[in-house]
Amino acid sequence: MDASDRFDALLDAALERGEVPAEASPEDREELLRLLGSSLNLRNAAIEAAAEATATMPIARARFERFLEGQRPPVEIPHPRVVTGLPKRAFLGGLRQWVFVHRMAALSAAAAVAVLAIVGFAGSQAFFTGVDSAAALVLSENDYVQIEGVITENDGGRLTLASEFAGQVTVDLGDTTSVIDGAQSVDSTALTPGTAILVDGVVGKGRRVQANTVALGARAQPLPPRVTIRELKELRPDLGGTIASMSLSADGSRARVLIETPAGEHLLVSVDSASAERLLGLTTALGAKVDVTGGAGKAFVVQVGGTTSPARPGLVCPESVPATPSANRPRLTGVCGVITAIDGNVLTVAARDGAVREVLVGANTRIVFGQSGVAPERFLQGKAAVGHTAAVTGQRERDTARIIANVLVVGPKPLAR
Amino acid sequence: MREAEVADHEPTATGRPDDESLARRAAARDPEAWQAIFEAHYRSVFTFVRFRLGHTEEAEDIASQVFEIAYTRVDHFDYRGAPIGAWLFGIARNLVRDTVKKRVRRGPEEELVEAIAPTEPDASATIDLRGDLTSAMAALTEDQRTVLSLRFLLDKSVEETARLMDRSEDAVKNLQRRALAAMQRAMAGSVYATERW
Repeated sequence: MDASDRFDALLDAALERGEVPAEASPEDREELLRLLGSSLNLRNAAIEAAAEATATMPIARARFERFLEGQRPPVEIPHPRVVTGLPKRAFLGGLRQWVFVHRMAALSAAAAVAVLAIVGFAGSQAFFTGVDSAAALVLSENDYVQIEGVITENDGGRLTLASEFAGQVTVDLGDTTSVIDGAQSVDSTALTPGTAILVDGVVGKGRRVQANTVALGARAQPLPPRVTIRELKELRPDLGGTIASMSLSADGSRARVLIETPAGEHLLVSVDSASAERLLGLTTALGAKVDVTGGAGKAFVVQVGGTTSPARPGLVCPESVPATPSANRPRLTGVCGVITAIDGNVLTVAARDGAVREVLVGANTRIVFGQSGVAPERFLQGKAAVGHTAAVTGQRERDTARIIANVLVVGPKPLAR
Repeated sequence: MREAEVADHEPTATGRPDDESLARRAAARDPEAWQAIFEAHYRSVFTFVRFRLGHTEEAEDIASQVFEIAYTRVDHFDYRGAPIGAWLFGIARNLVRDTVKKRVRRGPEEELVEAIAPTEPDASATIDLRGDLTSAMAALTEDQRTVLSLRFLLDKSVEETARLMDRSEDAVKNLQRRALAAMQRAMAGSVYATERW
């Protein structure tokens, strides 16, 4: 062993033990002490770097989960693919959120074939599926839903709701649930039996809905009769009605509306992603009159009644809030307009009527990027979405005019007018 | 002297059996396998990158890219005996190198001067945890920074470092001595740390 190798061995032993080996000569000892000092500085730096690694891991993990979700091959008709995870710290402050990415631009030939296959398969069948299966689809676990009904019981933290479409539904009220009467926040004691309400929230196990918002409607309402629901399988002429329920799946792969036709039918209609975006742009889809104008199987085109065909796919804010059949019908809080600024997790959205609202993107916000052309990563990192259309359904932040977004649809930049 | 090379794709040492099993699942792009890989290696990859770049967010971004690139290129990864960690570090090293090059290209004038004079320290390729340490690290070669990163920031053994750098253990011991000596020289005048010993 030469001198260099011998010293290397001494150094290795010193680094291992944290002290200079006894067999080191005085000269070696002096040099080893210097080198050990350098190694200590590095180990101190390692402690700091490890702390940073731990701190950044949740964000990076969410990004990677989002990446993995994005690698899934499309398996069905064109619809959103899901990206879940944490935003970049600079934009969303580490809040956890769900990110839905619509990729209508990726309408592939395979998707078209899938649609044709569905149509072909259904060709020998009736227009609709069976009654029971359709009713079960109204409240699918993990769906975001907007549903109406009449309260039959309020035991404080939980409502029992009678829905003409879904039967008896349990609605859980959490700490973050907002109860509104018109534009005013009210106490949950206002949720008395016999009150008609509109609930938006997420469906849990056992058809329970964790409410984001409960919007009060008319009081002293009779319990609605249970109606028969059929799932629309094939387009037919002049089909339209009023939306009575809407849902968006947790993985963003489908959206459904329940429409009540003038003839009294109740049809569950799977809508294509572009239509879903437009309906979400209404803030409160329930009560909107719509026409089913195209599509088949699980991708029907649903257009808000009285509107013209869109010049391009994607979110377009309505000129005004569509009239609902009943003035007493409750509405959710929301805004549709153009994102004019992004500051942390707060968006500033300017509506067409000149109103400017601040929107908080929170832990449970579901973001639909749709036809925006905005990459989720860019959106989350900074100001890529400034100038784009956005529709928000949410709840009023207590004591402020800000909206806490439950669903945020990011659309393309508005066309020049 | 040969520049340090963290083995990019074909490390010579034998990977652990659980690594091989994970690699097989990763090759099939099993999301759970990739999540496991992320959980097992993110901290190390981040620390490795952080040691070479000055900003936490940039390090986080690069570390995230490492896993995304690994997933994308998994078809090119030879699992037989190749530790996943070595592969990831290889990707990380290449990304850091590219990042530093880009930064120098678009950076201020002094960085351009450094780019023109490659023998000068690369000030951008160091950690910013402590100013004095930053200066000292800038005085090291790529080779030396790599061995110090693996040995002292990631707490890899000599054996592991040798495997990751595709070097012999003796070469690693020699390299770490020279690297520590270079750092000590660069930090001459600093009084802390040595008192402990």
